[in-house]
Amino acid sequence: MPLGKIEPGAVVQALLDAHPDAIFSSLFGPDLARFVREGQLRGLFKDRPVFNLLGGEPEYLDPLKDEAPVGWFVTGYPWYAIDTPEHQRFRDAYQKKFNDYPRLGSVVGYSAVKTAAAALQRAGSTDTDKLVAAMQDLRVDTPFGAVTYRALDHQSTMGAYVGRIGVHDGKGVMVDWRYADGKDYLPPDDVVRRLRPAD
Amino acid sequence: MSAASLAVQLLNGLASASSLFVVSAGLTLIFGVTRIVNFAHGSLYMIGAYVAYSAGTALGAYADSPLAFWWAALLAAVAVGCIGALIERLLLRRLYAAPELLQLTATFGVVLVVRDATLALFGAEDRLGPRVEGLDGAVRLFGSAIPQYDLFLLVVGPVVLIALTVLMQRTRFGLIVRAASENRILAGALGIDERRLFTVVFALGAFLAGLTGALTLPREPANLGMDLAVIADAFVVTVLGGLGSIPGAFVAAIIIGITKALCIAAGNVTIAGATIAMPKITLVIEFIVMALVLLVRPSGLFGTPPAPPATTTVPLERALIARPTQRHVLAAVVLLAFAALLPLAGDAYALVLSIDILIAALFTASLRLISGFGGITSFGHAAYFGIGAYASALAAAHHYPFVAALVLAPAAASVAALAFGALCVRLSGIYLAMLTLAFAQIVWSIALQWDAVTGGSNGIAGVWPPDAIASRTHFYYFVLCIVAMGLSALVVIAFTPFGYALRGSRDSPLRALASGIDVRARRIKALALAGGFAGLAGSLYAYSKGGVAPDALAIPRSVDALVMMLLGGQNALFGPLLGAAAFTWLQDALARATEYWRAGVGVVILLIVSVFPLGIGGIATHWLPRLVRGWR
Repeated sequence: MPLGKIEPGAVVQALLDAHPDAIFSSLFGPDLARFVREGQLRGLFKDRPVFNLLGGEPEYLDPLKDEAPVGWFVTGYPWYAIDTPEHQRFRDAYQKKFNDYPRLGSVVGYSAVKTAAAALQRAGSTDTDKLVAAMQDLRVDTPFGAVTYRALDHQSTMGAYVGRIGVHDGKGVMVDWRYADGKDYLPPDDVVRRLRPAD
Repeated sequence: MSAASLAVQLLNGLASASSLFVVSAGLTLIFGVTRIVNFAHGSLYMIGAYVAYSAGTALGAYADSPLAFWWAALLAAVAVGCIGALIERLLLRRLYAAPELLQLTATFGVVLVVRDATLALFGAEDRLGPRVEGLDGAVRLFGSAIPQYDLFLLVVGPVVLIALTVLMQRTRFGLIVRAASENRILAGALGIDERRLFTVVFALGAFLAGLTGALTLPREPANLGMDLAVIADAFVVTVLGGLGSIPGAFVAAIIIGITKALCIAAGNVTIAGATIAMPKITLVIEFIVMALVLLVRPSGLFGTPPAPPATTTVPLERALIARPTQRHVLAAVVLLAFAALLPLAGDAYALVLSIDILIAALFTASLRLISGFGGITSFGHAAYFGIGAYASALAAAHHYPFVAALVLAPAAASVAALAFGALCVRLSGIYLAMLTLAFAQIVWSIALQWDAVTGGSNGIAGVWPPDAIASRTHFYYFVLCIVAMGLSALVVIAFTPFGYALRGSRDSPLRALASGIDVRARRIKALALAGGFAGLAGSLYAYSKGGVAPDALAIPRSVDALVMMLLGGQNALFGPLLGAAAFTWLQDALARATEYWRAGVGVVILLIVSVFPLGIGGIATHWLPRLVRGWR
């Protein structure tokens, strides 16, 4: 589907016609809201598991309010329930500064800037080659815990919160969630080497 | 696909078509009378949705009334109508005599201001309105559940069509509107107050936009992307139906709505061994349909061909640029010397910014060749910039030598421009402008969706210049050389016989034809040349950024080029350079200073078109000497 331009009625109908056993998608933003509303009206989600990446991020979950689709499997950010010390510090500081709760975008943006700072510090210079070297296996503390930028494929090991959608006090929340650490789910080294042959 | 599910998909298409028609009817109504293509129509639609959300929430909480939504929708439509009247009075009223390029750009300025005003007032979060009481369920039809609200929408379109038809055909107001659409001057001579009529018509068009925005709320959340998302569709519908024709908009909306729904229903289709993912095509199908129709019927389905352009007085903005004098050459040499010394200042960021400015200047100058000198309003010049950027990036990714990759860019862009020019040479004015937009959108969606070749939304990375010019300073000198040569070439072209013939064809196509000038051939040649220079700029861009992504050929880049051209002054020799420098610097400074930089750019656009239509260059060549003379 084209991003941001989903025709909800037609898409939901086409899915119904295909009689899928389950639905896997990564809709977000206005597309997600349209899809949820149209799908619930047309009975698409009845007795059918839905896996929607990003659906639990407050950015996209909160606008749905009490219409949040209960039971969907999603990745997201249950900011209200994560009580690791590093996250609590981040959340308290964020709420104090902005008088609002953090979204996943806040965590990602914060961690990206922290990464840039850590890389610059380690390189001690803005020279490209030194920065590239500094990024190899760089360790950065983020609100989700320490992550590493793997030298092998330049991917960070930042993980995701995976859970299901529930509704609490008229608001969509994530329930039964757990943190899936990226280091356990990134492709193993030999697969990466096969996918990215050295030039 | 069974007959039943086909019927359901047709219903889906018609429901979408219905609201698409209502918003487009407002756009076409405004154009019919004022001859202004209102880019801000989508913004009015967006305001309608946000106002309806706020009013609905307030009313619903206050009275807990089942009618809250309907009152909120009405309130939103009326409020947007008033905002429309305000925009007409304060801004558009000054522009009725201006060239259409200025009008279009002005309404785009409104888009930017409204976007940031909405962000400031309502916040960044999407606002999903409550369901409408009484219409919140589904009905079983053809064995499927159909939302009741879709059936309601299905009725709205025809009702609005009938209401507008009665208004136009049976009332005195309609009589006046029709008279003014046909001949503005004569209507004025017969005592019709043109100014009041324009305000009322604009308010009515805005009312329809606001109403559609409000009625969309139960189906999709109010969000900040609504404005541009709907305006592209509404443009297609009005152009396809014939600008100014309300029944045309109705038919066109149905064609577009049903085509889209059928594309999604079709799924993957295999034709002659090649599998085409039909749902992916929905992004461009409307533009393809529009382009095909315009090729056969240059004025759309129900449109009347525009009156042949008469010999007009040349507006000040387009007065022939003066041949370069010794003073200009001297100024150019001083500028070049200054630019050559810049790296000595040792400010790395200034170099990065300067490279951006130089590339933007070449891009803008190439646009000026067709839009300024050729009189072809282009809303899709980014297509050639992007084709050049992608051509170089692809060549680099396949390990072609640097020079080959660099040369390939203007060649590819030029060929694309030639093909486009050959296809739409019959069109002119606003229809041609819309086709340039359609072409750019088609190229953009190919870049976005053909993952295997273009890398999809990730684009192509790892495009760097060879070692000899890899350092920032060396690359800067390289860009400076190429851009200086390109800008000089474009100035020289303007003063060749070809350049004169091109400008003559712009100002009086009839007289040019009578003098034996092949107007169409000149225009095609100008397109090919302009495309080539834009492609060269695109190639430099890809090498300066280390890669390319689809945003290189998205609508905002086309608009940026237009703004830079106007900001610098269309008839000033150094206009593109001045415009690119001022705009790039301004955008950079604003983006660092405030979250609301779009509104800042929008205000600058509005100031240029309403107060300084001659741009910076025009101030220097036109107003300054006058001031000096007056002072003496």
